Amino acid sequence: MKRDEIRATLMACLSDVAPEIAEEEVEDDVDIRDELDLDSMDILRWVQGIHKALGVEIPEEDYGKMTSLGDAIDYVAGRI
Amino acid sequence: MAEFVMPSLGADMTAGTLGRWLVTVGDRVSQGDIIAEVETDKGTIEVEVFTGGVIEALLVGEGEKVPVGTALAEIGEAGTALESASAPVSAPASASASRSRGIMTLGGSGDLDGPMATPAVRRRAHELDVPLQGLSGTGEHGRITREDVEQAAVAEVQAPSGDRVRISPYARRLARQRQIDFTDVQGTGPEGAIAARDLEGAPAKASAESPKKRMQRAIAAAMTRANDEIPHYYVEHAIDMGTALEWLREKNQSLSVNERLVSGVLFLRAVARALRKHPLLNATWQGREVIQGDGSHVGLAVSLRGGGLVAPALRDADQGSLSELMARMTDLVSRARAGAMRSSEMTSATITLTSLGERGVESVTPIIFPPQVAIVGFGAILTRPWVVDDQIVARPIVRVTLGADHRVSNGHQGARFLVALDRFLQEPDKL
Repeated sequence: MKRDEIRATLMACLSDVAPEIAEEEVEDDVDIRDELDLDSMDILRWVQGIHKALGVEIPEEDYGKMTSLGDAIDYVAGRI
Repeated sequence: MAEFVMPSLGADMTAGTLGRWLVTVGDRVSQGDIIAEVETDKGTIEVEVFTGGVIEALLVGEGEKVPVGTALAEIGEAGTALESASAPVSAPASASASRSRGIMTLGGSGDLDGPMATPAVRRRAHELDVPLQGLSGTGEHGRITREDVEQAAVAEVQAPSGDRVRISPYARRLARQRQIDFTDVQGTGPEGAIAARDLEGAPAKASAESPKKRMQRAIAAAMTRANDEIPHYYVEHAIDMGTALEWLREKNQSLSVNERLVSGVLFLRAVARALRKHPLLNATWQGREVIQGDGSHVGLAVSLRGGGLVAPALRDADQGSLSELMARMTDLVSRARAGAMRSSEMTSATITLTSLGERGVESVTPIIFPPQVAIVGFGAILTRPWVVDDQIVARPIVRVTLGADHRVSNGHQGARFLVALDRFLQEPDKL
């Protein structure tokens, strides 16, 4: 799976959690919790969405490796 | 016969606009069914009915603003009303009931003024935001079919300017919620119909107050009232979350990703359990009277990402497993952010839980939502020096602040509530 395809899937999962977030306002290198005002429940729902869409299991202790969209893409790319 | 009235969906609500009926005359309803949408300053609220039976009359038309307590519909007993409804339903309705205010009645004259459609078709109409009133049915005896509804899904409607335009139901709902004037919007949908995407950048109605502004006004009114009228007192307590977080970590390792819990659900359950033990904080102050709460219904302060704040109640939060509570909490927060709260969630809480810890602040000193009598604020869980067995160790600590109404309880009772909360969090396996 190409990086831009993973990005699109992760963004789609993020949109399910927070539909009001426009894709163009999400930069790959910013802290998504801080910039997009996401809380732990949002992150959990995002992780659940990624699991459903790509089959990637993300353990709780790895949430810290997905602080930005770019980090999350790298993390998921390494596990597909 | 029972009356279904305009509910009070908040302490400062004096009137509401009947946005949409989800039932029609002759429909059988059960307790808890959502039968109408009411537009308030807090958004569109789905209103449940608390009496089962058959809708005998709709007394208020869509779009009408009426005072709280106004009868909106009449509900008859299921047996008798169904009998009287059965005859008109089996043949095309004579439609002689008053339409002057969008009113529909059933009963005295024996007339039925409601479109004929099966529950499945009504559900589809609700999904597609298609009002059944005025639709011509192509089914047997003029019954409205699923195809009728779907064909009507993209239909001509009157724009705010008075012009007729084609617009999808979803776009129409969006335009109503955002107060958008879609008169000059170029549609890109089927047959040039306006789709939701076409509304981006469309102007708001000239005289309309945005929902965000209305919500801000409602919050301002409630908080000003709370600050003016409620003699708050505060007590604060630091809680060692080490045991709870370790239990949560181990628990989540044993659960599938779809069943994982967050620390917020432990806070919620602990508050609900502590509330049971301290009934003075489980009440509302109405007029000059304390009204005891009938369960353990905890309001959740939910910030909306576009601005604004709502605090719907999670009813009976002391009941069921933590997994069930987590699912209910997720559903409630999602619906609150999507503007799909229910009437029972707007009025039943006696205490609200607000957590700003995830935004990094150490503590919060919150203001009570009237007519509730208490609010509990959680700060961030931060690693702090803590004394255990005369040794200073690093522990995850959360500062919890209780704000309560001094007319109803006092600091001594508030302190006992926080200590009870602490004890519950020290035994997470029992939550």
